[in-house]
Amino acid sequence: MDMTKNEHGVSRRRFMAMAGGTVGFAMLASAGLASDQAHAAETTPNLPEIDADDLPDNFSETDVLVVGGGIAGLFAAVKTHDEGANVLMVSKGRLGASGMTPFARGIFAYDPSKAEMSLDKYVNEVSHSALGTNNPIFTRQTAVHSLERVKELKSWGFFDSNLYAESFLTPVTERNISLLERVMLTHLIKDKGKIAGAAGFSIDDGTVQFISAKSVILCTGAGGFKPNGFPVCDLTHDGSIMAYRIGAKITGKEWNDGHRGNLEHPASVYDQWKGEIERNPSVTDINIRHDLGMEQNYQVYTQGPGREKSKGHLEIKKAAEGGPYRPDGFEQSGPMGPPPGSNHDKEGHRPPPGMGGLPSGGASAGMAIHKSEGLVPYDEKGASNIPGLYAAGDALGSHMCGGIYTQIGSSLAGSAVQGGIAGKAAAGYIKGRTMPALSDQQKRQIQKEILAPLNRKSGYSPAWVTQTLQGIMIPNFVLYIKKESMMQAALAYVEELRDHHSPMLKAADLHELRLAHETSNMIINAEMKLRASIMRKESRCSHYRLDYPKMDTRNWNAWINIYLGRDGSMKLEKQPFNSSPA
Amino acid sequence: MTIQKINDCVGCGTCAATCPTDVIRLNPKTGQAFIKYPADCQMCHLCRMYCPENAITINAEKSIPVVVSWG
Repeated sequence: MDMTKNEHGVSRRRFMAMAGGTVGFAMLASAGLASDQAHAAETTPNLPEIDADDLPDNFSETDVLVVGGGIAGLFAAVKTHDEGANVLMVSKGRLGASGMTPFARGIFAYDPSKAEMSLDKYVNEVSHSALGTNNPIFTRQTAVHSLERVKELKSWGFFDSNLYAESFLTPVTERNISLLERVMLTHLIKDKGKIAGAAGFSIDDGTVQFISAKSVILCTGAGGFKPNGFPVCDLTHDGSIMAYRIGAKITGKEWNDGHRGNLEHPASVYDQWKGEIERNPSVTDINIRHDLGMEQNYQVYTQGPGREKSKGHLEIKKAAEGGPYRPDGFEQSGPMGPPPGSNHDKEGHRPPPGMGGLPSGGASAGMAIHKSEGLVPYDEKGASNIPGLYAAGDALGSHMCGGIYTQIGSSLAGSAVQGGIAGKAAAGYIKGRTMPALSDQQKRQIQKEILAPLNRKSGYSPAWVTQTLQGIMIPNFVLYIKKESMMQAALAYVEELRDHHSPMLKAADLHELRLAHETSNMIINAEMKLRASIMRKESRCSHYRLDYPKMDTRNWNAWINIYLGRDGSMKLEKQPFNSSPA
Repeated sequence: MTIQKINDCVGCGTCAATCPTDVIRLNPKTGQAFIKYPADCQMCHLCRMYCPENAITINAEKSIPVVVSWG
């Protein structure tokens, strides 16, 4: 036992830092600058409850590392295993209860024996709704494989409960797949240009985890700015930002998910989604739409949030003139059309996400349309530009739907399909490859970076920096109804957070350590969203520019890819639709 | 913006394991779950729905004022 520790297990060095911090805090308080914990806002002393010097570490090896415990991760792990490779799953939360998977209730299945339209027609219709922004390879792929994935889910009991942990655990247990839950990975590791593993920490006991892997599949979902009222609770783009930092290309950041918010209980996910969250999942048929665009945001921008009272009923306000363009044949949804899932599954469930009450927007702020943002796919299997690194589901910028939500239930289906395909591909990739070795120097440096917020003597609380970021990014006139001047202004603020505040994030315990890393990731996501939105000088699908309100097919039939430049700055490039990345 | 209370907890740990935002922890002395980080609760209700004892109460009325979208 370390006799230099006090009753809380804190070492003498740490205790002295805490004591000094206490004095500093008292001085701030006496100066009227800090009165209570709520004012842990500006730089305040860090009062750690744990000793970063004392946290254990653990080293493991696996052929394929699957990151994420949602439906993409589930199928990635299962198919990797079934191809004969050794697999380790790591999830920030609990399998089947983290990310957005636990809240999704409709899953699309294309059944060729019953389908109302051919696959070719289906893909063409999606492309028509998506105004060409979708990648037809992935649109078709989801339809082709969806029925097989649905059948597997059924065999595991997925459709028998609205809680997915048990059904997800069934194939994992049957296969004896290793599973690490409540471990946040913060670093992807590259060696000799190829993926070599990952590192992170347990939010329960602080164990620093180093994992050597021949291949990594990111099934980390997308993310948001921890917005209110939308079940994107724990997703902060961790996977794609880790990948960006080691050189992966990222796409789709200018698109926005347009889920509505509700001004009654705006912070309560359940109260906005309760009908959906309580019911068991079900299968959806072909139902091509043009949903989750910016019409409502435009309406709120021009008229304010809420509804008008008319003839004794609360009526949706009349559509504002102008605003986002809808393709021919999709006018019927109207600017305030029902959200995805509305009365569209076989059992006729009434889905109310965000319906009722006083409607507004921004519920899913920080997130793009499902599968439009994430790692740039270099093939149809989810390979990235880093050999051995794959992505699937919302972590892969497959543009399966495009820059608009086009098929009810395709979010779950696409993740399941892409996860399975990436799993098979990774199992093939690792054949004949040797296990990468992580050097002690590498491990020391990574450990230092992971634990840095715990070791800071003072700094900014992640909660305050996150709230500041939300204030900069979530306003309708910044994130959704875009114009150059406002985005440049927001970018200046975000650069300040990136350069000054992110390096000063502090953490008193493992919960805050997680928040600190999440906050850093959200700041980079904000920068990506602003730069891509500034670059795309047109309006299309869920990207709406007040200063460029028209679609520009001459210059902008292209996706925007983002990567880390050699000088450390963020670079952007165009990739013409339906072409291979540079 | 918070989970309100946990009554008659049997200490199974399901809620702590399930919460996506790590709001709930187990008290090392009593073994029971307690609400450690209420500010991070997003009221998704997964903890309540997974709890085998129906011990968790979440009240939307308890929402603290939040920075909401342009409303």
